Amino acid sequence: MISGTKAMKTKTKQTYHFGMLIDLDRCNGCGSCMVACMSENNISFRPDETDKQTSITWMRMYRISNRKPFPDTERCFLPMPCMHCEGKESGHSPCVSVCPVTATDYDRNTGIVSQIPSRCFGCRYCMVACPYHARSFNWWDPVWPKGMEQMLNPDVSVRMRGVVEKCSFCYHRYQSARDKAHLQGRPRIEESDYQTSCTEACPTGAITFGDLNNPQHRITQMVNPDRNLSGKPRNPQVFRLLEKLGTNPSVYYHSSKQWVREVSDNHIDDKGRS
Amino acid sequence: MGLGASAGLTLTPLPWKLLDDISIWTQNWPWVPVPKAGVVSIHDSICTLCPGGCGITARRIDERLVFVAGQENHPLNAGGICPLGLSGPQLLYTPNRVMSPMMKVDGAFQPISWNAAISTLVSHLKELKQQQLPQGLACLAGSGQGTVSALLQRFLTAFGSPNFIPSASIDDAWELLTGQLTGSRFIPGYDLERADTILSFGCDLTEGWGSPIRTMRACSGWKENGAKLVQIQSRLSDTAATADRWIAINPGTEADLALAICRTVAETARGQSHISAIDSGFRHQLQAIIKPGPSLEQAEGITGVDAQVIQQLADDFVGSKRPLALCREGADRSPVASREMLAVLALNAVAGNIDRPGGLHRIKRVPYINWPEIRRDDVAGSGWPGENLAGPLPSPDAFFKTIAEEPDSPVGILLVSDCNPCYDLAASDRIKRGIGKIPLVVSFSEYWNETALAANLILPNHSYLERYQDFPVYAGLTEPRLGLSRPVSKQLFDTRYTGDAILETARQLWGTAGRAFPWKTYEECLKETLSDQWDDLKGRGWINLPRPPITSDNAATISYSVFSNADIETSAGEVHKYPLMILTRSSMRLNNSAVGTSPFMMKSVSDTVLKGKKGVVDVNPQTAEKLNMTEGDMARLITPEAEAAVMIHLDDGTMPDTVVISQGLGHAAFGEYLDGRGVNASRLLQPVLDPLTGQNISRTVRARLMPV
Repeated sequence: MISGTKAMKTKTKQTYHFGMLIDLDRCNGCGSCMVACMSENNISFRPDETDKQTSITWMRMYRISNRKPFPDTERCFLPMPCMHCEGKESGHSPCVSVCPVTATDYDRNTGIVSQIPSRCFGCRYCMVACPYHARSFNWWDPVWPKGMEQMLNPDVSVRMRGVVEKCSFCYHRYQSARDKAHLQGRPRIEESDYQTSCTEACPTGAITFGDLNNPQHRITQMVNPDRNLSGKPRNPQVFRLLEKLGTNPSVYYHSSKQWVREVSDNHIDDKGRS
Repeated sequence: MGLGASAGLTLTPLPWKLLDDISIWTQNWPWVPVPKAGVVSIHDSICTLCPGGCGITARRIDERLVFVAGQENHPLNAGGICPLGLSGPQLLYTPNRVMSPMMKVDGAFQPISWNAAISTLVSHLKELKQQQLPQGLACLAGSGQGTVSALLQRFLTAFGSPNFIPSASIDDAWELLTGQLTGSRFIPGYDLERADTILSFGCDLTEGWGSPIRTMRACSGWKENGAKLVQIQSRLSDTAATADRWIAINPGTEADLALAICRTVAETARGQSHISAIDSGFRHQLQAIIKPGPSLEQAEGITGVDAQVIQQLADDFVGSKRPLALCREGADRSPVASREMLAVLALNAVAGNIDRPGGLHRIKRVPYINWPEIRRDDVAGSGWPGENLAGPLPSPDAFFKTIAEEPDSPVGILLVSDCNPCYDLAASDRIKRGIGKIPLVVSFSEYWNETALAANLILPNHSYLERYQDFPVYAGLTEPRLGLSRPVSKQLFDTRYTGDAILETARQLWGTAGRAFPWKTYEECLKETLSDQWDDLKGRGWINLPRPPITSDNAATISYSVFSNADIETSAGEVHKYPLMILTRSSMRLNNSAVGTSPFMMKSVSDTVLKGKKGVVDVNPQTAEKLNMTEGDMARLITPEAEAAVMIHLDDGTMPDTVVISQGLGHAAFGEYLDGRGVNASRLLQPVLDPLTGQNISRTVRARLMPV
């Protein structure tokens, strides 16, 4: 997945840093992002998926509330893919630093945290380390009912029992975008060349995906990341989850509601108290 | 020696090596599938799984369908797509498809050939004919739209039966009501995109309303252009959660609030001028609707909404540039109470937005199926069809009421196409018993749903991804369109077009298909029907339907003597025995229709909706405390109709003394991914037929919760 990245780095100085902005004002919790992800990434399914601790999903939909009684209750959906943490010093994401076999790694050329199922041996340290519960473990063999293995996407390998999996920002789509650019003789891929499955499916346009290093991309304009503060958003309505941990996620959220923004960092106030 | 052994044992890599090997072995099972690579191709079509009519793009690897996306350049959904639409590959390849014709022998289904299946049906039809009982043939259809429906209806007419019973949509109810009200039948098209103040009377705008993705995109657009959405609803729905303002209202009193706002607006100078601009016939009717509406104080008592808030809503509404009031739809766009529909129509009228930008547009349905009428002498045997036993605007609920009341079923053969009454009609247990009384039930279902399981004979249709289907889309659009779904997958099983099954049956009954059915195949019939539009439709997938002007404005025949709040008054059960009220919740992650919910969608369902096999209901913490119940408790949810075991979830967004239950669960079919999971809300409801439209409008029922 990341072979040859060093060679590339020396050739093209400017790297990508793919990121995602999810507009919580627009998200209505319809679940299209989840299903689009499952279908694209060959996620296995079982008759009972109601134990959410063992249910495998790369995009998890949380529902948060302001916890006020009826009728002052407010609610907000919060879709959570892998945050693709960059870490404070680039490349030190919580999961990457604990993986004994480099089955998960931070790619400095794309900003994507990889997950290589065939290298993973299932110790699940990464799941413990991840503060976002973005990772799932294959407790069982994946089984497709008779005939249904026909629907599997050949671009994504099927995971086996005993390994961890998570959102890859549809890395295979990045690979084909790169191939396409190469074939057309373009040095770089365009914003529209590479979009994740969830971004494309979202009916309300709540998800924006693009290169945070490219000032022309919509995401960069909306987030306005502060390079001196590890990409912290300058837009006051944009935030990242658990910013205080310094994981430096590549996934940003937008909300016009203050209570939502407060929940995002465990109600930490401007003096750092929580 | 001892030291050496300890050091050796401590430092030996053997355990780690063994663990490593185990992990490798456990990963190398040969049954982990490796998807085959191949040539990628892209195929556009129209989704026909709901009335929305979105454009879809199927991705194939050689012949395999691996993904269904929203069609990027489609005017309705512009690349967006819902979880059901995304489930295309699962719905195509599911083992829950009916893979060949089936016949029930001694209670068990056995595969039979198409020839045997059709001749079985034909011999039963001939018997009915011989007994001079052509009206003993009935047909339930998913909708009254499209050529398949038209063929079924034509077949019944040719046979001599009036009993064609399509599930009425809210559009059918609108046509009936507006015809009676203004003398000219129309369907509202809501100009969502250009409205600036939107009053939604309980509409599930983000949970499937109108053309669902188009509506969601409009909601999203309002965030961008500053339009304000006020959601009036009894519970904090997903729409209410994303609205600019949520006003909690007593269950079932939306019409009263709409009428109170109407009255308030009508008293303003602006309202007066809007009313006087309306044509005289409609104006008188309008005043007849508004007049019996409640005053602000009365409305406060009925709806629980503060009189000042109502006044403010009225001021904001009439004071805005482009106000728009939206009317609720039942599950799968079924009709709601006529009182509610007329109140919302009246509110739009007094706000002066009829046929204006951002307002309510009057849309006339355009017939595009222009087959020659069946002549009387084409009708074989005993006579010309009489009255439909399911009422003038046929209702499946009324049909089953008739079946239940007669000791012997007046219907000998029931054809069921594209609907699942044994699951989704109110009091579904009674429906199942009713269907059991009918000697021959023939299903055209492509899935093993509840009604297919209750049938005696199944003539399975192709799946929606394997067939051509004409698909008119109104669904609240201001620019209605005709879509054509095209096959994006090769045919997988021994299935046939329902249209072809009908044509073959007609051929066998009346020789060369009779004069009423001049087509050899269904595809030929479809092509001929769409004639010069066929190429456009096949290429682009949709065309705009013409919008003929609305003309006549008289002959109002509506009766207001029945204009009462029937929806709630008749929701049976005394308050003291059943102190709670059930509210149903729809969700894009669960599907209520005849195709069921996909495994992926089930996976996306929250554990506060379904836990294991237990259906979870939302209860306000106050109510739960009163009942001495808490989070995760099991309880019996009892209505006058039925009871179910449910798990309690405490939810602040639920109104005290109500219980919120999800639609789309509790199947008794569809295989292990759906069967027996959760509670079927329809089972608990009782049908309430609207006095004007005759359609079932029940959405709530009184209930009580008892500890287990």
